[in-house]
Amino acid sequence: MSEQRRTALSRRGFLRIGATAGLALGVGISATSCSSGGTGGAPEFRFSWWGSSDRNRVTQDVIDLYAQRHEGVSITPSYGGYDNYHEKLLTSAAGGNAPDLMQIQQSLLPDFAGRGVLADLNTFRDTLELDQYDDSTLESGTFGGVLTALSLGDSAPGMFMDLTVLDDAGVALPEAQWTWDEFAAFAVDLTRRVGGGFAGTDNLAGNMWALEIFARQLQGGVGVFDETGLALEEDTLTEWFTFWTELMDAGAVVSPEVTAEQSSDDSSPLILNKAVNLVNYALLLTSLSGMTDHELAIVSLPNVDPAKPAGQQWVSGSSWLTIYAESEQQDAAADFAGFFLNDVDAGLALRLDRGIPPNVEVREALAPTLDERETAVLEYVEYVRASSENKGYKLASGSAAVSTALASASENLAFGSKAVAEAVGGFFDDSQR
Amino acid sequence: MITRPGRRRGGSFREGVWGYALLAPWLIGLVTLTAGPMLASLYLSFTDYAFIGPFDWVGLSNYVHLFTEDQRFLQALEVTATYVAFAVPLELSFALLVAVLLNRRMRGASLLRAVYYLPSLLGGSVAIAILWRQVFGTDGLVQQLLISLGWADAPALVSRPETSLGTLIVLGVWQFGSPMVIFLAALRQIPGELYEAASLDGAGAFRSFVSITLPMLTPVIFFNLILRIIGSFQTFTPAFVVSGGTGGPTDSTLFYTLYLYQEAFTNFRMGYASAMAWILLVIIGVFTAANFALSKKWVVYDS
Repeated sequence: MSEQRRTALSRRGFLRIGATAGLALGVGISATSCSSGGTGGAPEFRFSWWGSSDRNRVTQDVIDLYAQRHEGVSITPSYGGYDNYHEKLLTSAAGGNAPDLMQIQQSLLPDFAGRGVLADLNTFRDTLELDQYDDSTLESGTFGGVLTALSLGDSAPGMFMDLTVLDDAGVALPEAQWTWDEFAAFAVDLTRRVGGGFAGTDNLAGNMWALEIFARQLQGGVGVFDETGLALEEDTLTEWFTFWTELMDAGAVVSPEVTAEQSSDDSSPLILNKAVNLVNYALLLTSLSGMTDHELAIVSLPNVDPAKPAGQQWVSGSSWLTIYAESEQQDAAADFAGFFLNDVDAGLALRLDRGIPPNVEVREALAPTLDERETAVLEYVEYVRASSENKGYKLASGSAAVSTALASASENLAFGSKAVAEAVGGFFDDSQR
Repeated sequence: MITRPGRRRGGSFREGVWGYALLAPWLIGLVTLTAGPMLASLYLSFTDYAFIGPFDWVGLSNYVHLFTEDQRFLQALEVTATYVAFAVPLELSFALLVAVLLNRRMRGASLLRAVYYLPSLLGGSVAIAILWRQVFGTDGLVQQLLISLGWADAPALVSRPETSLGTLIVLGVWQFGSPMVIFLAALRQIPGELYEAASLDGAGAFRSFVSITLPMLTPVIFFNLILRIIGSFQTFTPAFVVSGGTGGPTDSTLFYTLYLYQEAFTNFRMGYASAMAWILLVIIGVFTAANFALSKKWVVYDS
């Protein structure tokens, strides 16, 4: 799959066939309308993102702010919900008509970058003020040696804990430096104390980030993926699944039915009050807190080696900003992107909506204006940035199949339909093809 | 038919042009929106097309891989076949039963007909699939009911691998409204004399049903069977929504079209997914052809 061979029929040639067949009818119309800016008139380009209505509002505010300062520049916003956003982006890229400036999720980056959809951002080094960024942030957006994506806002994976439940059970919030063994003991103890089917932990066997951290701890810093693809070793996964099987046998893990029914954070065991924790981006503290009456806290994921505080955790973009390689308005798009990411006024308008501003200056200007929960998020992410080895986080092409395979293997394990060895075998069968 | 060249040529040519002109809107749609993309997907099924970037002709390897190495593909085939094998006969039997009951003259029959037809209107929708997840899920209506009946460890049916497909079959059967309406219409067409004659000969209700109603209905049963088999093979929405797009738990609701969607839009294997689409087309074609062949043995076309 990864090997790229030459094709008999070029993409353009094929598209022409598609266009005559009417496939690209709508695409063709908008393509002509946006190429008009390239002839020397005022810059005109499209910026697309997904998000909530709050995000749409603040993003539009920043677009307006930029338009005020740059007479004649016209930015067409294109936004929608998360569902189908990336399918649409994929289709428009296939039609040769992707938006000039795109917000993209991490899992799409390796394929988009590897297939030449994204522009090299090093070309716009000064406009984008790249010297303001962490090396690890830049590294996470670099594919095949080319910087193709910038973090729109940083976050770090963390473990949300239900403080209300812990207080009622008389259990203290775990320390930042805890080991997987301490985590297991904590989960078993809490399950016993709370009773009534409440679980001492969510089932994290199928959680890509929890596994990533565990793998880095066992594989000398190498996680699930490296540049070439899957880097997870069989022994690591066997150990991981064994760890969770033992916890399940101890009755400390949420039931597989509840896991199977989770479709989003609001149906997660933490929110449904069926388990004490949830692993996700720390950034979600505010939105998760809005879904429950309980008080939530963020702690680090456990470590193999207690000597390393945040161990192998990382800070990485929660979404990414990219420029379309075939855009005729790259300069204008990059100029706006530089403003969007680095201008203090823009940062104050956007707040933590997409994550912690990767630009240090913006971050410092924003810090005093944050509320208690936002401050907790900022402090947690900065703690991880400072105390971990922080190599950033990067996926490889085919990561979607790997994450499906992991979910399926861990489901089989939880329902008892496969033993550890079988589940490990199933994972490697499904993810390597 | 004997042709009369001299007279027909001019008239038929003009008629032909008019015919095609009037057909044009539909023809253009067929060629550009259906036939064109279909042929494109046939071509793509022999490539490693992945939406973007260059792609290659890979011959039959997508097809070979599907049948020899792809466990999930075989699982998807099994799930879909199981669904078709249970949902279609159950749905049609149910539709026929209700149609026969509603066919009697009674008060409120038209209201009942509308009520029974409702699920068909709603059935394919996302809202109903979400409702299904609630009703059959953890702490849902069904689990609560089972617990109150004394089964303390009642499972959440939709989230157990053993029963999740069953709940989707029930959802499919519940949408028996459209075949029911077709059956009802057909029942009305059966001449009353036949029943009168039979009852004069001393036939009971059951005998009349087996010897008159069923044979007279066979063309419509055949029609419904074809439609429902094709429709069931293509089931997508309920599985997608109920399982949150995963086909889980443990791939127990991994319908064919759902797996196709995953391959195309989450794994970007558009060429591979195109091959799957063509295999499904062939499967449905074979089933339909077999149905037509077998129909000669049981469908009674009354003249």
